[in-house]
Amino acid sequence: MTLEGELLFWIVIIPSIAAIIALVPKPKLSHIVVILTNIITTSISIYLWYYYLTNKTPIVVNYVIPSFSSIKSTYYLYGDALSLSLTLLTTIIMIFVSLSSIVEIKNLVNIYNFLVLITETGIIGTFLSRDFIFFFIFWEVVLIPMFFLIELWGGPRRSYAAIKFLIFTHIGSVIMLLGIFVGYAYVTHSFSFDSYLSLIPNSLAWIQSLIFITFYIAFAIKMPIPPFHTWLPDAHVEAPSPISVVLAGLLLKMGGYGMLRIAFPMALPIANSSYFIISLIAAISSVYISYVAMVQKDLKRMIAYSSITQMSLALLAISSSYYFINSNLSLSNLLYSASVFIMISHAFIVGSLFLLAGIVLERVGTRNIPSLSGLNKLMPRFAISLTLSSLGEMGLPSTSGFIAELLVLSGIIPYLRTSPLFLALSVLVIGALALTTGYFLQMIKRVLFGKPVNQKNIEDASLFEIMNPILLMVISIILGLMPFLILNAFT
Amino acid sequence: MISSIELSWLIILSPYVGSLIIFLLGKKLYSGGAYVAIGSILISLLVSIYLFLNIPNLSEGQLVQGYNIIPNFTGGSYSIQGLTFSLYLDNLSVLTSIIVALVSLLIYIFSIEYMRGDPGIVRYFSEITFFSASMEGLVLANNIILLFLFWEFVGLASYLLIGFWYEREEVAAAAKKAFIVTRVADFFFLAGILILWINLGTLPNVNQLINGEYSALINTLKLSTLVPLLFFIGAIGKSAQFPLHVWLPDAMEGPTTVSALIHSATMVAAGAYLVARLYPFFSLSYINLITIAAIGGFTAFFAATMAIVSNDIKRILAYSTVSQLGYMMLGLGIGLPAYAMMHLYSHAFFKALMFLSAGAIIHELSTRNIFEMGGLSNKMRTSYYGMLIGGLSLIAIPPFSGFFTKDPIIEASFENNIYLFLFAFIGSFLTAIYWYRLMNRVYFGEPKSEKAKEAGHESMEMKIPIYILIFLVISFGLYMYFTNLPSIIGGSVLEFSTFSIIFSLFLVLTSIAGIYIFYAYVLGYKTVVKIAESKFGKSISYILQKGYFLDTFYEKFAIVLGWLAGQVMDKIDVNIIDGFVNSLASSTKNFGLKLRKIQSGDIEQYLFIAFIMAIIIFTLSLLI
Repeated sequence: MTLEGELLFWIVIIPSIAAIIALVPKPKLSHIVVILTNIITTSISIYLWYYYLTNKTPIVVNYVIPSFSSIKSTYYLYGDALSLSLTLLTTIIMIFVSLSSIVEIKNLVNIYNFLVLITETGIIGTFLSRDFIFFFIFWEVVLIPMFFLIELWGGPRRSYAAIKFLIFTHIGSVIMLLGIFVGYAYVTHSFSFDSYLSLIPNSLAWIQSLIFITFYIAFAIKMPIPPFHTWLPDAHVEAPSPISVVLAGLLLKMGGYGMLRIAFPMALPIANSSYFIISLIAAISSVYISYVAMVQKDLKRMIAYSSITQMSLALLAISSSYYFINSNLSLSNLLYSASVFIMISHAFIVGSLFLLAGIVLERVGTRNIPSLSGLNKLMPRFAISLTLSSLGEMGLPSTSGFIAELLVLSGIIPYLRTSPLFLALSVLVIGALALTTGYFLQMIKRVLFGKPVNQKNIEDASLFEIMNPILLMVISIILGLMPFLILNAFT
Repeated sequence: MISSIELSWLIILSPYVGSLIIFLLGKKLYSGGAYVAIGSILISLLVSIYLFLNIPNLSEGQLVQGYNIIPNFTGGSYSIQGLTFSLYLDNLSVLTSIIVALVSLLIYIFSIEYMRGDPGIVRYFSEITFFSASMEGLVLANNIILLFLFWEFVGLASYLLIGFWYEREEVAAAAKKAFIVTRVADFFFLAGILILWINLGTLPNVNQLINGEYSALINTLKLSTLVPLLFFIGAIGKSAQFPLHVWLPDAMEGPTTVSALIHSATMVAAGAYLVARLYPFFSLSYINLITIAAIGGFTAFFAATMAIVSNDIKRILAYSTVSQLGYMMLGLGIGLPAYAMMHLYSHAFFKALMFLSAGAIIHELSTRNIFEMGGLSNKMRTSYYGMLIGGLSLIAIPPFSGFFTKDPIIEASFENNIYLFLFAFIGSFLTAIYWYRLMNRVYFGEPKSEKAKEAGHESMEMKIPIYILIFLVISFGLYMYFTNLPSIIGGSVLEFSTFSIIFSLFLVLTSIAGIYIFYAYVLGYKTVVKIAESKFGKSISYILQKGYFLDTFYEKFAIVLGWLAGQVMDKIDVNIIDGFVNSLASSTKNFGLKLRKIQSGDIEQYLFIAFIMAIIIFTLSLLI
């Protein structure tokens, strides 16, 4: 096996080994283990990304496991532009998660770290597996630790949120399992993605439809796309802020990844014939959710809703990418990269916003937007950081949010004269973006501007605390000015 | 070895670096980093002048390469060219960058005194240098995406600086309003960029649009009206043209120096600059030019009407700015891009002068209400001279620069279209009225408040920029006329035929008539007073003061389309979608709670053991 193959194999395993080490009952030591692990995995993923950028050949690992071979399943890892970019994202985000946990998490630190690292294995495994059995195992491995992370370290209504999260995502998993087995039993007789990708698009229409619908629902719950989104705001509001970062930054991307890798390409004819309805759902969702976000009083809830808008735009890019695959392959490639780019960009920006929401709760004691005011004066560091992140979410040029917006819209707006559908999509999406600008500016006006409401001494965020959101935004700005770091892999 | 044209990056980078230094170290620097700001913009100014004088063939344009930000996408029969950052230097851009740097420099100097002692002075200088850098970038950018980046940056700087005194409610509201209005307009601009990019398969750069490289293709694809008009909506937002002018008067809540630099001299002129910059592209279709001329001409008149009744010295100047930007747009629309740009430059000087003169008063009196001023002409001489000479230029009295730049536009509009001419002409008449009203209330007569009686201090930092601007206002028009400056940016030679001399005389007389009418009102001439005091006059005045109720309309519109709709959607989300889910979820939760009671052991520990077991089994299965 090549060095890159070895690294691909280990990057999945390392976090789970480290998870056991992180169980040491000393909090400091446990944190150090996590941070070291993430530095190692990040270095590996950066190397792999660099390798992919220079060689443009996928990295493949295919282990035949005797006990699985009878059902035609192998431990099959596959690193291409999509998988490796999201792996890179995961490892980088995890560094910030572990850093911000140092301040945020006070009790049961070792168990917390254990769970976080198990989640990391699950996420990376999901992004890299190319065999449904292992894909599904990794997919499930993510859920249970997340349930406990919300349940044990969450806010006042954590039980409700955790159960809701678990039920929703489990229903999704079960539905997905149905799709996998239908494909296996009727068409492929193998669990490898390759056989699904080559055989399903040529299979009977009902099988294709069933597979598309099951996968679509499973991933739409995860992304989440309305009307399957209601678990997300609750989970976010109750989760501690580093876990919100994992949720919004990484878990939602599993849904997007599934759409890109599985749902659309595996049932391409059906997906394309339902482009009308899917793109419309995505565009209407983005406006609808922006409206809902606009009237939220809880800062974190507002941010959670705004991330649903972003994921709806990602779905729009994904569906457009496959829609244009026959008529304009260049545009299709561009939109494919757009959907990855918006997911990556969103992870950094929204991660930063969630950490800031955590800081507000900790310092001021509330996240209720109407009862916050004049923080510009009381917490200048926080104010600068919040402004920066909000500008990113609003898609100001030079942040990655702008490039994401630009690329996603490139599949919609240029066609607005060709059919009423594209005109409607354009209007809806522009409306959603305008609303996003509006409610973020309104939030800044309420939270940062104005006179400080209560004159009690509110301490500004410490340099260590503010470093994480700022660094996340620095990455976003680097990507905004040098998007080719990601995009070059997709050309 | 860096070639001389690559120095042009320094024009942009120098103020950015200055801004960063002030942001990081400002508190330790003297006067909040004012001298860093001045130094950095001085570098920009010197480099611009150097480039203007030393680049051979500047009129043909020079390309300065940057780097590729978005790679090319290929596959299938079409390919999509990526985007590159680059700059384009020609007479128009370098000349404009000189003006931007010059006005910035003068206003920074004025700011030293104006902002002295303000707790946010570091923030002020950091943000205003950020603005100047972005404005220089906007002026020099070659790639439209880079132009759009700076276009948004100047909007951001404007937002931050309007909201500079953020603790006041109306300041916060004004900042938000300005940013939302301009950004909504910018989405149209962005849409235009996308349509051009994807349909052509490449995004033409500014130089390619100027040279008409893609004109044939744009015409075949029938994009020659759609895209320029979408760009123009962006320009309407930025240049505060009707019907998106509503943000600019409110933007006067920012410091006066900010109003002088951003909201009169440079940023708001960016819309006019965009049209002038891409003029060959806009003139691909006649419809574009008619639209531009119509919006510009109407705004020139429309904004002037509101200036007449305003009591806030800065709002009068703001409406005046909107009106003058209308003249620039009109000039562009009727085919005089070079004169429109000349008017942009001369307006930058005289309006900055007027704002600084007003700033000196506001700094001294801490009020913006013209009815609390009065009699300042001999107490604040510099301010008085500034407002006088700036105003004479504004109402186009020779030999001040406004005369040389505004008259040709009005004259050409007469030859072009009688309605456009009427708007421009009445606007010009109204300009004289509101300017003289301002002079009369502020500088003449008796002091109307205690503070106005005591006023009289003008510091050196305030006087110097005002005198330099006075010099520029007097000399720029003559310089332009004698050196034939418009010709280097594609304008024709200004000819003073018998007709145009008579026409100019006519316009000057119109302005004098405007002054006379207000003078008559002050003296109490019966007819004038009667009209002004009549019911009709008062109701007109009320409508004008309310800005034709456009603000109210937008506000109501925003409430219905935004907040109310949001409430409805939220109800749907909570009650219908989540309500359905919750009934499912809560029953499951109850079930889960029952389950928990059955298992009395420590559930956490139990699950962790299960996890470790799972991992062991998994690892073993890999090995076997």
